[in-house]
Amino acid sequence: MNDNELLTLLRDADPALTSRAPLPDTNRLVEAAMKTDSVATPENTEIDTTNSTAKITAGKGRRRLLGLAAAAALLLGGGVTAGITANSGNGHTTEAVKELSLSAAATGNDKGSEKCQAPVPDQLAGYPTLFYGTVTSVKGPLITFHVDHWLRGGGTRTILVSNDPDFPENLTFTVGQHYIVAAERDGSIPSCGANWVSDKEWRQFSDAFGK
Amino acid sequence: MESITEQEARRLRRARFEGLAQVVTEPLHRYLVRRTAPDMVEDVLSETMLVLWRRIDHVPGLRNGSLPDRDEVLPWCYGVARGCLANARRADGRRLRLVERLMSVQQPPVPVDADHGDLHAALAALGELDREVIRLWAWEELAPRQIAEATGMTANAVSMRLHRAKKKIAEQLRSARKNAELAGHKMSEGRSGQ
Repeated sequence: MNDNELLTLLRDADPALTSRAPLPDTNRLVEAAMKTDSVATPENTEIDTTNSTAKITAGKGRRRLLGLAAAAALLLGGGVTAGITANSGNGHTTEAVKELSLSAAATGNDKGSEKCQAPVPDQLAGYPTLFYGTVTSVKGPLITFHVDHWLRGGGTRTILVSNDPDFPENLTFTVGQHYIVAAERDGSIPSCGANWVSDKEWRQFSDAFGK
Repeated sequence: MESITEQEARRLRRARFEGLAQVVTEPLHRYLVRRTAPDMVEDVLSETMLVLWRRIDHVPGLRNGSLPDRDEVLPWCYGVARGCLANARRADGRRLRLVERLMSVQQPPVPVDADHGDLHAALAALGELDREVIRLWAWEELAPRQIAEATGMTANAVSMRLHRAKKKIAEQLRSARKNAELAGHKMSEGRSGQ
């Protein structure tokens, strides 16, 4: 088989020829990119494309999985699975990153409709991973947290939480809001382990953990 | 307050990005369609566009006031898409591992058309980098020098890898055809012996 024959075979088998994916909307992508990152500073232009954890909010593919809500007391119930990666806090994952590799575990009820009580320090103090963080992005099933304070465990500043896409309605995270998140040693976030907290509730944790 | 010079620089940067997007968005979309599941394509394309915007000053072959030459900019942009896809796969792999443990479900693999099963099997048998080199050559129609730019290898290394990969695929296809012929013979012998 010569090169031309092979090339013909390969081109006949090109998946793009049979794809039913709609053509991309260039204008929307351009707007989204410039809107997401409207100031291209030297710091954020040096993104490492092979290891970056930077996320865009433009894609709508998996975004449908999460709604947004800013309830006065957001109570998160039901199944949460957590895949957590961490970076050094400057937006670039590095080789030195501590891969927490938190994994999933069965959680809560099957529909996530259970409402949780407001979190209290005693209830969450037993978890090996516990942090107070701010949601910096919500992208599909991935929620990125900036860790403001580690209460248990720690060492990294950015946490990526994977929401189980089969439980799309049970988690609502809002960018800019503060949460207390607890996780087991295997990385699973237990039922009622991720909670929106008010400043008052945070002060209780802050006092209890000496932060 | 932003000075006029800064405003002008900003306007030019935006214009360069818009020009680049006109030229590369659809080829990048096809690049991703060829390599990943449909539900990931849009997200990875969005991520790729964001990286291109952030690195607009580093894209080779971009000039103010004119659309870029696709042959000049595309290999570099494919390299960005390749990195973004690798990131997405890592993240998705983590997520899937988690979900699989919990739900015992698996995401279906990228669909492969039945008509070219042998060829896809031969591609799958290649190493990741060999496969990428072959695909960039055949589907993105890049020359070894451009493949080198997209993958970060030297042009010589690409040429050698490409040569080897073509040979491996041809051998795999020959072997698959031989096996199919043998199976056909056996079936016809079986029928004639009954």
